Amino acid sequence: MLIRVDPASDVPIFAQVAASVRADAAAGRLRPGDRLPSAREVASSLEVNLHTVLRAYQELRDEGLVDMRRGRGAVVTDAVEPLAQLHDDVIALAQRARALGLSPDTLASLVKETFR
Amino acid sequence: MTATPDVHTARRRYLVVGVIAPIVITAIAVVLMLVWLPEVPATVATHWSGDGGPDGFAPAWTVPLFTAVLGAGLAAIFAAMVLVPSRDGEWGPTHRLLGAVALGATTLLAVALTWSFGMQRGLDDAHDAPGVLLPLAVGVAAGLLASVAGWFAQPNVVTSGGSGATIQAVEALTLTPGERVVWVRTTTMSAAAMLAITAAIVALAVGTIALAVTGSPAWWAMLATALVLLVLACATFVFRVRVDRAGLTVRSAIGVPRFHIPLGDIADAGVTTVRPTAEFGGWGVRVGLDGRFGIVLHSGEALQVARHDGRVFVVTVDDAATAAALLEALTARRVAPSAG
Repeated sequence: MLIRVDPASDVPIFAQVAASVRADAAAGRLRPGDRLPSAREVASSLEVNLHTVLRAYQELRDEGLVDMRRGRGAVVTDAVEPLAQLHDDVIALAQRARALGLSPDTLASLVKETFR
Repeated sequence: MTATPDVHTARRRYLVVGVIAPIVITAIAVVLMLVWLPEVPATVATHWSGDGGPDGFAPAWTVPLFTAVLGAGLAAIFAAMVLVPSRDGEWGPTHRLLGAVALGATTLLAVALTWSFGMQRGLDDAHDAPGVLLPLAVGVAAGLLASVAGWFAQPNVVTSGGSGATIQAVEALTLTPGERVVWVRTTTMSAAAMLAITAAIVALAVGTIALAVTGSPAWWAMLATALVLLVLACATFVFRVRVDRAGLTVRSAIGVPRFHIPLGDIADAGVTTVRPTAEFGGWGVRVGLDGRFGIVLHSGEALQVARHDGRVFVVTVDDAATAAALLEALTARRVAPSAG
Protein backbone atom coordinates (compact mmCIF):
# COMPACT_ATOMS: atom_id res chain seq x y z
CA MET A 1 0.00 0.00 0.00
CA LEU A 2 1.04 3.53 -0.79
CA ILE A 3 0.91 6.28 1.82
CA ARG A 4 1.77 9.82 0.76
CA VAL A 5 1.80 13.01 2.79
CA ASP A 6 2.67 16.54 1.73
CA PRO A 7 3.63 18.76 4.68
CA ALA A 8 3.01 21.84 2.47
CA SER A 9 -0.65 20.91 2.04
CA ASP A 10 -3.44 22.55 4.09
CA VAL A 11 -4.87 19.12 4.87
CA PRO A 12 -3.66 17.81 8.27
CA ILE A 13 -1.05 15.03 8.00
CA PHE A 14 -3.20 12.49 9.83
CA ALA A 15 -6.04 13.11 7.34
CA GLN A 16 -3.60 12.62 4.44
CA VAL A 17 -2.46 9.29 5.88
CA ALA A 18 -6.07 8.15 6.31
CA ALA A 19 -6.95 9.34 2.81
CA SER A 20 -4.04 7.34 1.35
CA VAL A 21 -5.29 4.15 3.02
CA ARG A 22 -8.83 4.87 1.81
CA ALA A 23 -7.56 5.42 -1.74
CA ASP A 24 -5.67 2.11 -1.61
CA ALA A 25 -8.81 0.35 -0.43
CA ALA A 26 -10.84 1.98 -3.19
CA ALA A 27 -8.26 0.96 -5.79
CA GLY A 28 -8.60 -2.65 -4.66
CA ARG A 29 -5.03 -2.78 -3.39
CA LEU A 30 -6.23 -3.61 0.12
CA ARG A 31 -8.25 -6.76 0.73
CA PRO A 32 -10.19 -7.70 3.85
CA GLY A 33 -7.78 -9.34 6.31
CA ASP A 34 -4.72 -7.41 5.07
CA ARG A 35 -2.67 -5.79 7.81
CA LEU A 36 -1.72 -2.14 7.63
CA PRO A 37 1.97 -1.50 8.24
CA SER A 38 2.73 -0.77 11.86
CA ALA A 39 2.21 2.84 12.87
CA ARG A 40 5.82 3.01 14.00
CA GLU A 41 7.09 1.86 10.59
CA VAL A 42 4.95 4.39 8.74
CA ALA A 43 5.90 7.21 11.13
CA SER A 44 9.63 6.62 10.73
CA SER A 45 9.40 6.23 6.94
CA LEU A 46 7.41 9.43 6.54
CA GLU A 47 9.30 11.31 9.27
CA VAL A 48 6.08 12.17 11.07
CA ASN A 49 5.02 11.76 14.67
CA LEU A 50 3.87 8.28 15.74
CA HIS A 51 0.69 9.78 17.24
CA THR A 52 -0.17 11.37 13.89
CA VAL A 53 -0.23 7.91 12.27
CA LEU A 54 -2.11 6.41 15.21
CA ARG A 55 -4.70 9.17 14.93
CA ALA A 56 -5.15 8.34 11.22
CA TYR A 57 -5.58 4.64 12.03
CA GLN A 58 -8.12 5.53 14.73
CA GLU A 59 -10.09 7.57 12.23
CA LEU A 60 -10.12 4.57 9.86
CA ARG A 61 -11.27 2.39 12.74
CA ASP A 62 -14.10 4.80 13.53
CA GLU A 63 -15.16 4.52 9.88
CA GLY A 64 -15.11 0.73 10.23
CA LEU A 65 -12.44 0.26 7.54
CA VAL A 66 -9.96 -1.36 9.92
CA ASP A 67 -10.06 -3.30 13.14
CA MET A 68 -7.45 -2.44 15.77
CA ARG A 69 -6.36 -5.54 17.63
CA ARG A 70 -3.79 -5.75 20.35
CA GLY A 71 -0.72 -7.53 19.03
CA ARG A 72 -2.04 -7.77 15.48
CA GLY A 73 -2.12 -4.10 14.58
CA ALA A 74 -4.66 -2.63 12.18
CA VAL A 75 -6.49 -5.23 10.08
CA VAL A 76 -8.60 -4.30 7.06
CA THR A 77 -12.28 -5.24 7.41
CA ASP A 78 -14.96 -6.30 4.91
CA ALA A 79 -16.01 -2.63 4.73
CA VAL A 80 -13.40 -2.03 1.98
CA GLU A 81 -15.43 -4.06 -0.54
CA PRO A 82 -18.02 -1.32 -1.28
CA LEU A 83 -15.18 1.20 -1.68
CA ALA A 84 -13.50 -1.02 -4.26
CA GLN A 85 -16.81 -1.47 -6.10
CA LEU A 86 -17.21 2.30 -6.43
CA HIS A 87 -13.64 2.72 -7.68
CA ASP A 88 -14.40 2.94 -11.43
CA ASP A 89 -17.36 5.26 -10.89
CA VAL A 90 -15.30 7.62 -8.74
CA ILE A 91 -12.51 7.77 -11.31
CA ALA A 92 -15.00 8.46 -14.09
CA LEU A 93 -16.71 11.18 -12.06
CA ALA A 94 -13.40 12.83 -11.11
CA GLN A 95 -12.24 12.81 -14.73
CA ARG A 96 -15.52 14.35 -15.88
CA ALA A 97 -15.32 17.03 -13.17
CA ARG A 98 -11.74 17.85 -14.16
CA ALA A 99 -12.73 18.11 -17.81
CA LEU A 100 -15.51 20.52 -16.81
CA GLY A 101 -13.06 22.61 -14.80
CA LEU A 102 -14.50 21.86 -11.35
CA SER A 103 -12.17 21.97 -8.35
CA PRO A 104 -11.86 18.86 -6.14
CA ASP A 105 -13.49 20.76 -3.27
CA THR A 106 -16.47 21.78 -5.39
CA LEU A 107 -16.95 18.20 -6.55
CA ALA A 108 -16.64 16.91 -2.95
CA SER A 109 -19.25 19.35 -1.64
CA LEU A 110 -21.55 18.61 -4.58
CA VAL A 111 -21.35 14.88 -3.83
CA LYS A 112 -21.88 15.51 -0.13
CA GLU A 113 -24.90 17.71 -0.82
CA THR A 114 -26.47 15.17 -3.18
CA PHE A 115 -25.82 12.32 -0.78
CA ARG A 116 -27.62 13.99 2.09
CA MET B 1 2.60 -18.58 -23.55
CA THR B 2 2.97 -21.21 -26.26
CA ALA B 3 6.18 -23.19 -26.46
CA THR B 4 8.54 -22.12 -29.22
CA PRO B 5 10.34 -24.68 -31.45
CA ASP B 6 13.47 -23.94 -29.37
CA VAL B 7 11.75 -25.09 -26.21
CA HIS B 8 10.44 -28.21 -27.97
CA THR B 9 14.03 -29.03 -28.98
CA ALA B 10 15.28 -28.35 -25.44
CA ARG B 11 12.57 -30.55 -23.91
CA ARG B 12 13.27 -33.39 -26.36
CA ARG B 13 16.99 -33.16 -25.65
CA TYR B 14 16.30 -33.13 -21.91
CA LEU B 15 14.25 -36.29 -22.37
CA VAL B 16 17.30 -37.99 -23.94
CA VAL B 17 19.91 -36.65 -21.49
CA GLY B 18 17.92 -36.61 -18.25
CA VAL B 19 15.50 -39.53 -18.66
CA ILE B 20 16.40 -42.03 -21.41
CA ALA B 21 20.20 -42.05 -20.86
CA PRO B 22 19.88 -42.52 -17.04
CA ILE B 23 17.34 -45.33 -17.56
CA VAL B 24 19.63 -47.07 -20.09
CA ILE B 25 22.60 -46.74 -17.69
CA THR B 26 20.48 -48.10 -14.84
CA ALA B 27 19.30 -50.98 -17.03
CA ILE B 28 22.90 -51.90 -17.95
CA ALA B 29 23.88 -51.83 -14.26
CA VAL B 30 20.91 -54.02 -13.28
CA VAL B 31 21.57 -56.56 -16.08
CA LEU B 32 25.25 -56.82 -15.08
CA MET B 33 24.28 -57.39 -11.44
CA LEU B 34 21.73 -60.07 -12.41
CA VAL B 35 24.39 -61.83 -14.52
CA TRP B 36 26.81 -61.72 -11.56
CA LEU B 37 24.18 -62.73 -9.00
CA PRO B 38 25.14 -66.49 -8.95
CA GLU B 39 28.83 -65.60 -8.39
CA VAL B 40 28.48 -63.31 -5.34
CA PRO B 41 27.81 -64.46 -1.74
CA ALA B 42 24.10 -64.77 -0.81
CA THR B 43 24.61 -61.85 1.54
CA VAL B 44 26.69 -59.00 0.12
CA ALA B 45 28.29 -55.94 1.65
CA THR B 46 26.20 -52.82 0.89
CA HIS B 47 27.74 -50.27 3.21
CA TRP B 48 31.27 -49.45 4.20
CA SER B 49 32.52 -47.72 7.34
CA GLY B 50 34.74 -44.65 7.33
CA ASP B 51 37.92 -46.73 7.72
CA GLY B 52 37.21 -48.78 4.59
CA GLY B 53 35.86 -52.13 5.80
CA PRO B 54 32.32 -53.28 5.08
CA ASP B 55 29.85 -52.71 7.94
CA GLY B 56 26.44 -53.12 6.31
CA PHE B 57 25.07 -56.23 4.61
CA ALA B 58 21.97 -57.23 2.68
CA PRO B 59 20.70 -60.18 0.62
CA ALA B 60 22.39 -60.05 -2.80
CA TRP B 61 19.11 -59.89 -4.76
CA THR B 62 18.13 -56.60 -3.10
CA VAL B 63 21.02 -54.70 -4.71
CA PRO B 64 19.81 -54.91 -8.35
CA LEU B 65 16.27 -54.17 -7.14
CA PHE B 66 17.45 -51.13 -5.15
CA THR B 67 19.50 -49.93 -8.13
CA ALA B 68 16.52 -50.23 -10.49
CA VAL B 69 14.16 -48.39 -8.13
CA LEU B 70 16.71 -45.67 -7.38
CA GLY B 71 17.67 -45.13 -11.02
CA ALA B 72 14.08 -44.99 -12.27
CA GLY B 73 13.00 -42.90 -9.28
CA LEU B 74 15.75 -40.31 -9.80
CA ALA B 75 14.91 -39.96 -13.48
CA ALA B 76 11.20 -39.62 -12.63
CA ILE B 77 11.78 -36.98 -9.91
CA PHE B 78 14.06 -34.87 -12.13
CA ALA B 79 11.66 -35.22 -15.06
CA ALA B 80 8.74 -34.12 -12.88
CA MET B 81 10.76 -31.11 -11.65
CA VAL B 82 11.70 -30.05 -15.17
CA LEU B 83 9.11 -31.20 -17.68
CA VAL B 84 5.93 -30.47 -15.72
CA PRO B 85 6.55 -26.78 -14.85
CA SER B 86 8.00 -26.09 -18.32
CA ARG B 87 4.87 -27.23 -20.16
CA ASP B 88 3.74 -23.65 -20.66
CA GLY B 89 6.85 -22.89 -22.68
CA GLU B 90 9.33 -21.71 -20.05
CA TRP B 91 12.92 -22.88 -20.35
CA GLY B 92 16.16 -21.75 -18.77
CA PRO B 93 19.67 -22.80 -17.73
CA THR B 94 18.27 -24.37 -14.56
CA HIS B 95 16.44 -26.99 -16.63
CA ARG B 96 19.61 -27.71 -18.56
CA LEU B 97 21.57 -28.05 -15.30
CA LEU B 98 18.98 -30.40 -13.80
CA GLY B 99 19.24 -32.63 -16.90
CA ALA B 100 23.02 -32.75 -16.55
CA VAL B 101 22.76 -33.46 -12.81
CA ALA B 102 20.21 -36.26 -13.38
CA LEU B 103 22.62 -37.94 -15.80
CA GLY B 104 25.64 -37.41 -13.53
CA ALA B 105 23.95 -38.65 -10.36
CA THR B 106 22.66 -41.79 -12.09
CA THR B 107 26.11 -42.49 -13.55
CA LEU B 108 27.74 -42.10 -10.12
CA LEU B 109 25.22 -44.45 -8.50
CA ALA B 110 25.37 -47.01 -11.31
CA VAL B 111 29.18 -47.14 -11.39
CA ALA B 112 29.64 -47.23 -7.60
CA LEU B 113 26.86 -49.78 -6.97
CA THR B 114 27.77 -52.06 -9.90
CA TRP B 115 31.49 -52.00 -9.12
CA SER B 116 31.09 -52.61 -5.39
CA PHE B 117 28.67 -55.46 -6.21
CA GLY B 118 30.88 -56.94 -8.95
CA MET B 119 34.07 -56.90 -6.83
CA GLN B 120 32.43 -59.36 -4.43
CA ARG B 121 32.27 -62.09 -7.08
CA GLY B 122 34.01 -65.28 -5.94
CA LEU B 123 34.02 -64.27 -2.25
CA ASP B 124 32.78 -66.80 0.32
CA ASP B 125 32.05 -64.19 2.95
CA ALA B 126 31.07 -60.58 2.23
CA HIS B 127 33.08 -59.48 5.30
CA ASP B 128 36.16 -59.99 3.13
CA ALA B 129 34.94 -57.41 0.60
CA PRO B 130 37.65 -54.92 -0.38
CA GLY B 131 37.38 -51.19 0.31
CA VAL B 132 34.89 -49.09 -1.61
CA LEU B 133 37.10 -46.05 -2.10
CA LEU B 134 38.17 -46.87 -5.66
CA PRO B 135 34.64 -47.61 -6.95
CA LEU B 136 33.42 -44.38 -5.33
CA ALA B 137 36.25 -42.28 -6.76
CA VAL B 138 35.74 -43.71 -10.25
CA GLY B 139 31.96 -43.24 -9.82
CA VAL B 140 32.38 -39.58 -8.89
CA ALA B 141 34.75 -38.97 -11.79
CA ALA B 142 32.40 -40.74 -14.23
CA GLY B 143 29.44 -38.82 -12.79
CA LEU B 144 31.20 -35.48 -13.26
CA LEU B 145 32.18 -36.37 -16.82
CA ALA B 146 28.62 -37.47 -17.58
CA SER B 147 27.25 -34.21 -16.13
CA VAL B 148 29.56 -32.10 -18.27
CA ALA B 149 28.69 -34.16 -21.35
CA GLY B 150 25.00 -33.88 -20.47
CA TRP B 151 25.27 -30.10 -20.12
CA PHE B 152 26.84 -29.65 -23.55
CA ALA B 153 24.51 -32.18 -25.16
CA GLN B 154 21.62 -29.80 -24.46
CA PRO B 155 20.95 -26.56 -26.33
CA ASN B 156 21.24 -23.20 -24.57
CA VAL B 157 17.63 -22.04 -24.64
CA VAL B 158 16.38 -19.17 -22.48
CA THR B 159 12.78 -18.08 -22.84
CA SER B 160 12.37 -15.87 -19.80
CA GLY B 161 14.44 -13.90 -17.35
CA GLY B 162 18.15 -14.15 -17.78
CA SER B 163 18.38 -11.61 -20.56
CA GLY B 164 16.92 -8.75 -18.52
CA ALA B 165 14.91 -7.91 -21.63
CA THR B 166 11.68 -8.93 -19.94
CA ILE B 167 11.74 -5.96 -17.56
CA GLN B 168 8.90 -3.53 -18.06
CA ALA B 169 9.91 0.01 -17.40
CA VAL B 170 7.44 2.05 -15.35
CA GLU B 171 6.66 5.72 -15.39
CA ALA B 172 7.87 7.45 -12.24
CA LEU B 173 5.20 8.42 -9.75
CA THR B 174 4.51 12.16 -9.77
CA LEU B 175 5.68 13.69 -6.50
CA THR B 176 5.41 17.24 -5.26
CA PRO B 177 8.80 18.61 -4.08
CA GLY B 178 8.28 18.15 -0.33
CA GLU B 179 6.06 15.11 -0.51
CA ARG B 180 6.91 12.08 1.66
CA VAL B 181 5.84 8.67 0.46
CA VAL B 182 6.10 5.10 1.71
CA TRP B 183 5.04 1.90 -0.04
CA VAL B 184 4.74 -1.26 2.05
CA ARG B 185 3.58 -4.71 1.12
CA THR B 186 3.77 -8.21 2.58
CA THR B 187 4.76 -11.04 0.28
CA THR B 188 4.16 -14.67 1.19
CA MET B 189 5.56 -17.88 -0.22
CA SER B 190 3.11 -19.87 -2.37
CA ALA B 191 1.27 -22.58 -0.45
CA ALA B 192 2.66 -25.31 -2.71
CA ALA B 193 6.26 -24.28 -2.07
CA MET B 194 5.69 -24.00 1.69
CA LEU B 195 4.11 -27.45 1.68
CA ALA B 196 7.01 -28.96 -0.30
CA ILE B 197 9.63 -27.42 1.99
CA THR B 198 7.77 -28.43 5.16
CA ALA B 199 7.31 -31.97 3.79
CA ALA B 200 11.04 -32.23 3.05
CA ILE B 201 11.92 -31.15 6.60
CA VAL B 202 9.37 -33.54 8.11
CA ALA B 203 10.90 -36.35 6.01
CA LEU B 204 14.32 -35.43 7.36
CA ALA B 205 12.95 -35.43 10.92
CA VAL B 206 11.40 -38.87 10.38
CA GLY B 207 14.75 -40.06 9.03
CA THR B 208 16.43 -38.64 12.14
CA ILE B 209 14.07 -40.53 14.42
CA ALA B 210 14.67 -43.72 12.44
CA LEU B 211 18.44 -43.24 12.79
CA ALA B 212 18.13 -42.54 16.52
CA VAL B 213 16.03 -45.69 17.00
CA THR B 214 18.60 -47.84 15.18
CA GLY B 215 21.30 -46.34 17.40
CA SER B 216 23.35 -44.72 14.65
CA PRO B 217 25.61 -42.00 16.06
CA ALA B 218 24.80 -39.71 13.11
CA TRP B 219 21.34 -38.85 14.41
CA TRP B 220 22.35 -35.72 16.27
CA ALA B 221 23.97 -34.26 13.15
CA MET B 222 20.76 -34.99 11.25
CA LEU B 223 18.72 -33.39 14.03
CA ALA B 224 20.87 -30.27 13.94
CA THR B 225 20.48 -30.12 10.16
CA ALA B 226 16.70 -30.50 10.44
CA LEU B 227 16.50 -27.72 13.05
CA VAL B 228 18.69 -25.35 11.01
CA LEU B 229 16.58 -26.04 7.92
CA LEU B 230 13.39 -25.43 9.91
CA VAL B 231 14.61 -22.04 11.13
CA LEU B 232 15.85 -21.09 7.65
CA ALA B 233 12.53 -22.13 6.13
CA CYS B 234 10.46 -20.17 8.65
CA ALA B 235 12.66 -17.13 8.08
CA THR B 236 11.93 -17.17 4.36
CA PHE B 237 8.17 -17.80 4.24
CA VAL B 238 6.99 -14.20 4.71
CA PHE B 239 8.75 -10.95 3.81
CA ARG B 240 7.84 -7.30 4.24
CA VAL B 241 8.84 -5.11 1.30
CA ARG B 242 9.19 -1.37 1.89
CA VAL B 243 10.07 1.54 -0.38
CA ASP B 244 10.70 4.94 1.20
CA ARG B 245 13.26 7.73 1.41
CA ALA B 246 15.82 5.15 2.62
CA GLY B 247 15.46 3.05 -0.52
CA LEU B 248 14.29 -0.54 -0.80
CA THR B 249 14.11 -2.69 2.32
CA VAL B 250 13.06 -6.35 2.27
CA ARG B 251 12.79 -7.86 5.72
CA SER B 252 11.73 -11.32 6.86
CA ALA B 253 8.67 -11.42 9.11
CA ILE B 254 10.91 -12.61 11.97
CA GLY B 255 13.42 -9.79 11.43
CA VAL B 256 16.28 -11.60 9.74
CA PRO B 257 17.29 -11.97 7.00
CA ARG B 258 17.00 -8.35 5.94
CA PHE B 259 18.10 -6.83 2.64
CA HIS B 260 18.50 -3.13 2.01
CA ILE B 261 19.39 -1.14 -1.10
CA PRO B 262 19.93 2.59 -0.49
CA LEU B 263 18.35 4.99 -3.00
CA GLY B 264 21.82 6.13 -4.07
CA ASP B 265 22.74 2.61 -5.26
CA ILE B 266 19.70 2.22 -7.47
CA ALA B 267 20.22 2.65 -11.21
CA ASP B 268 16.71 1.72 -12.22
CA ALA B 269 13.63 -0.15 -11.07
CA GLY B 270 11.09 -2.07 -13.10
CA VAL B 271 8.57 -4.87 -13.09
CA THR B 272 9.30 -8.39 -14.26
CA THR B 273 7.60 -11.77 -14.24
CA VAL B 274 9.38 -14.49 -12.31
CA ARG B 275 9.16 -18.23 -12.96
CA PRO B 276 10.77 -19.66 -9.81
CA THR B 277 11.93 -23.06 -11.13
CA ALA B 278 12.97 -21.85 -14.57
CA GLU B 279 14.95 -18.84 -13.41
CA PHE B 280 15.96 -19.52 -9.80
CA GLY B 281 15.72 -23.30 -9.48
CA GLY B 282 13.15 -23.06 -6.70
CA TRP B 283 11.78 -20.84 -3.98
CA GLY B 284 13.32 -18.78 -1.18
CA VAL B 285 16.38 -16.54 -1.00
CA ARG B 286 18.19 -17.52 -4.17
CA VAL B 287 20.75 -16.62 -6.77
CA GLY B 288 19.53 -17.16 -10.31
CA LEU B 289 21.82 -18.85 -12.80
CA ASP B 290 22.00 -15.50 -14.61
CA GLY B 291 23.42 -13.91 -11.44
CA ARG B 292 20.30 -12.09 -10.26
CA PHE B 293 19.77 -12.18 -6.49
CA GLY B 294 16.19 -12.94 -5.64
CA ILE B 295 13.67 -13.24 -2.86
CA VAL B 296 11.54 -15.69 -4.83
CA LEU B 297 8.37 -16.67 -2.99
CA HIS B 298 5.88 -17.30 -5.78
CA SER B 299 5.57 -17.09 -9.54
CA GLY B 300 4.35 -13.93 -11.20
CA GLU B 301 4.85 -10.23 -10.63
CA ALA B 302 8.16 -9.09 -9.17
CA LEU B 303 10.02 -5.87 -8.46
CA GLN B 304 13.43 -5.82 -10.13
CA VAL B 305 16.09 -3.30 -9.13
CA ALA B 306 19.40 -2.82 -10.95
CA ARG B 307 22.22 -1.21 -8.98
CA HIS B 308 24.85 1.08 -10.39
CA ASP B 309 27.46 -1.67 -10.00
CA GLY B 310 25.39 -3.95 -12.25
CA ARG B 311 24.05 -6.27 -9.59
CA VAL B 312 20.36 -7.06 -9.91
CA PHE B 313 17.91 -7.68 -7.06
CA VAL B 314 14.49 -9.27 -7.53
CA VAL B 315 11.63 -9.71 -5.07
CA THR B 316 8.32 -11.32 -5.98
CA VAL B 317 5.59 -9.03 -4.70
CA ASP B 318 2.14 -7.91 -5.86
CA ASP B 319 1.60 -4.33 -7.01
CA ALA B 320 5.31 -4.20 -7.95
CA ALA B 321 4.50 -1.51 -10.54
CA THR B 322 3.66 1.00 -7.79
CA ALA B 323 6.84 0.14 -5.90
CA ALA B 324 8.96 0.54 -9.05
CA ALA B 325 7.23 3.83 -9.92
CA LEU B 326 7.93 5.18 -6.43
CA LEU B 327 11.59 4.04 -6.51
CA GLU B 328 12.03 5.73 -9.90
CA ALA B 329 10.49 8.95 -8.54
CA LEU B 330 12.54 8.96 -5.34
CA THR B 331 15.76 8.20 -7.21
CA ALA B 332 15.06 10.98 -9.72
CA ARG B 333 14.33 13.44 -6.93
CA ARG B 334 17.53 12.49 -5.16
CA VAL B 335 19.60 13.04 -8.31
CA ALA B 336 17.91 16.34 -9.20
CA PRO B 337 16.28 17.76 -6.05
CA SER B 338 15.33 21.02 -7.73
CA ALA B 339 13.46 19.23 -10.49
CA GLY B 340 11.26 17.71 -7.82
